[in-house]
Amino acid sequence: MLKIISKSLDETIRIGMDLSKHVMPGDLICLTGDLGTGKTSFTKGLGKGLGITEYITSPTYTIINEYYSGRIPLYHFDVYRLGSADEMLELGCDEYFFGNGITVLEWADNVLDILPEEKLCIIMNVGNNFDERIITMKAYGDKYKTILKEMKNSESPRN
Amino acid sequence: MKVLAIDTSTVAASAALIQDGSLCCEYFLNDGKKHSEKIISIIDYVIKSCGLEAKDIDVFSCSIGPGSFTGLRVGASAIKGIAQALGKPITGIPTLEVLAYNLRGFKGLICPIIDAQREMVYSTLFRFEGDTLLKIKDFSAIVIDDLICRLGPYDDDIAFLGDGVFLYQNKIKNSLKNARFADVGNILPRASSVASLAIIKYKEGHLLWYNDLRLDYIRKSQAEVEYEKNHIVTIVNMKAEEIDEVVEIEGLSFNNPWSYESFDFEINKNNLSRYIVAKTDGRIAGYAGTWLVFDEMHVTNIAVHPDYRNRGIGNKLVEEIINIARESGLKRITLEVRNSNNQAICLYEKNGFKAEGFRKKYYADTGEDAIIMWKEL
Repeated sequence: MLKIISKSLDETIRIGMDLSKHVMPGDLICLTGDLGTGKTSFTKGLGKGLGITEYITSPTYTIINEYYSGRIPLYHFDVYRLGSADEMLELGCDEYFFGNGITVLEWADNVLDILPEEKLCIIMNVGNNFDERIITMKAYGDKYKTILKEMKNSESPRN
Repeated sequence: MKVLAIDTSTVAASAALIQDGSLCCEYFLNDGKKHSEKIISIIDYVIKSCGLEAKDIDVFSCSIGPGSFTGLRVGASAIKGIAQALGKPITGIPTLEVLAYNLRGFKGLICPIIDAQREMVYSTLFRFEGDTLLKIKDFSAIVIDDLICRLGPYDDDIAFLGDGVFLYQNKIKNSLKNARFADVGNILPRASSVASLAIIKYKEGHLLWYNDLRLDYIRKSQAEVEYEKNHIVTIVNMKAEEIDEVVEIEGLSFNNPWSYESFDFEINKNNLSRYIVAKTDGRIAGYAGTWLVFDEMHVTNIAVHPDYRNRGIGNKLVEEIINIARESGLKRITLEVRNSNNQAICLYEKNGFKAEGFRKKYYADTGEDAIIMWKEL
């Protein structure tokens, strides 16, 4: 487990960029956290780090946005509006999970039942003050444990 | 008659136009899935290349799955949209049939495999009888290793095609000596095959209006995975009061079921027997019976209620009897299985059992041989 404190929105974006250095095609990243905790900002950072040039927005209404301009495709899901895990299967989510890109899943709790065992779960909570966020990363599976190890080692001193 | 057909069920997109029984134009593009951007212009190109306009087409057709969910939706939406605008009928063709039709005239078995992720494929086994495509066995969505095992008993050549071949060709080649693979031009679904099958459907009168076309994604046994998470299966020793339920499953599973009295004897009188049941939803889903004789375990019967099959319960029972045998310090386990019960044979093989012999005409009802399997512990 890796816990990172972010003092600002910019820092949340930077943490997303840090993560982008360690991900590979087929990786699954699940984001959980209340509205306004920075899930989409984190994804923006990840996308920026992957070299995506398009403007990344929350796919709340489209459910999936796909970005192909970076070094690896990014599939950005927001499953807030899905009623059940069944609907997620109907979307053909497996084609993304096991595809050639990185999948980022917001509100992953809604579809937890059908997610692959191996994944990186990121939980975002509001910290001690209005701008502060506590970002907790949990790795399920060896490849994600390695990612966290690498992130710990390369973590640049902040503040 | 003019038929325009498309296929977008895999990574490739194609469109074809058949006019009065001859293929006028076929466009096949395999450059990564971007069907939503390309399919309309491909359709347009094909129609114009034949010197026609969209309104000249009599029937529109597309493959309806299984395959890539996104690809299928793009294709069906395109065809439905065009057909609705022009007031023309459409017909949908199952993708596995489309693939089989690529190999029209092949004498052996045809086994299309479409990638379903998580080591699974969508598959059906076909054979041509003359020009007619016959479905031999529908595997629905199946784990590739299970499919290979289930194909084991077939002696004829089996031709594999579909995008699953890209992933599993070596695995199949190493396990099945009679495996053949389609050549590069036929390995993916082709719109010309969709069009040919659409003409057959047209002749049989199977035409639809745009809003009646349904895609057939084939739900994989993801339900199985989910089921296991949501419905806990517990395995416990069988009790006397459970005999009724077990007798019912026995009756639903075997031609010569054991009687209540037989189970009563096993549970209440036979000191060598050990029976276990798998319980879920407060019901008995399956059971397994064994005798512990010296240093060997003899499996007498294993069955799963029809309502609970294909959910990994049989496997759980087998794993548990192996545990029991190990914990009891036994050296080996043996069982007999009907020669034709390929699914059970696959299950035992998966758990390390090996066929070591036969009992000729062991089963009185059909005169079938029993395969004797052993597992060393």
